[in-house]
Amino acid sequence: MQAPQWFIGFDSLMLIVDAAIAFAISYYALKGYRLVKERTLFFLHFSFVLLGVGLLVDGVVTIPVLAFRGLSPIMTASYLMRITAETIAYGLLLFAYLRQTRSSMVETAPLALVLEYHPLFEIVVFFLVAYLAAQTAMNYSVRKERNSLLVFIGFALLSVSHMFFILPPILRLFFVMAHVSQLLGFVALLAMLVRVARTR
Amino acid sequence: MTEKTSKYRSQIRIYADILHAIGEERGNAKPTHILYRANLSHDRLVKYLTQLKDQSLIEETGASDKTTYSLTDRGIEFLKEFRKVSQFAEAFGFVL
Repeated sequence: MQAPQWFIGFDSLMLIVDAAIAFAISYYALKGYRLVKERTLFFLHFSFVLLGVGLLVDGVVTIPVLAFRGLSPIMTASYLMRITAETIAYGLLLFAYLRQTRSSMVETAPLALVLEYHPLFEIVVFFLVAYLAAQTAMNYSVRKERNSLLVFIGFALLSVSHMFFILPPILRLFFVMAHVSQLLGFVALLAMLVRVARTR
Repeated sequence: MTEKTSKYRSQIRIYADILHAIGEERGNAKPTHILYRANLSHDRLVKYLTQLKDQSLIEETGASDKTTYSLTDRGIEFLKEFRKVSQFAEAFGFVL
């Protein structure tokens, strides 16, 4: 990718941390699904597993590439795997939201049109996550709870990160900003998870 | 979006509502209190109380008109976990 030289290595570390947080969320969603048998929680679990696998593979593959130059085809493949996993994962989450709010399908129609006319993966993922951020913002506006706020902040930062991931051809620093905002987004989700787990 | 909650409660939500109602009375919940707090008809309450007893989530003490219900350790644990899962799901905007 278009990473600045000094940032190589940090990006894979950040991806691995992101993956660990995604797996923690997927584990909690699975635990919840086992308890209440609510299918939405299974979608949440599966989408975060996909996110975690994509992030982990991309993060781990970058490490040998640092040692052995010339493995860029592998790096490209791992990047493609991550972005595909992210597209499916965020798509699944979007489906889970639509499943709960079928009557709001009309509001999402313009979004579907936008998706159809932008073939680039990063742009698709950006719109998917931006939609999820909007959904979680609406949830926060109704609930006014800190956990909902953290989830909203998480998805908002993830959407910002995917916007930055589109921009490195313009300026390489965007690549760094993308990774940092992605990490902060996952940290916000982790903070919510810790708060829930600590509930008595 | 969270306002568009299904008008039907899931079985697990009804279990949690009954357990919550029993928990409020600290081991001395009368059927009328549970009925009122969990918003159930008498027939449905009897059905769910039987299911909860079968799963060892609650226990019954007393006889006929002096029957009271209390949570077992398993029931307390279930309720605690349900609350956590519910908070987790609600943080994402999903309603159980």
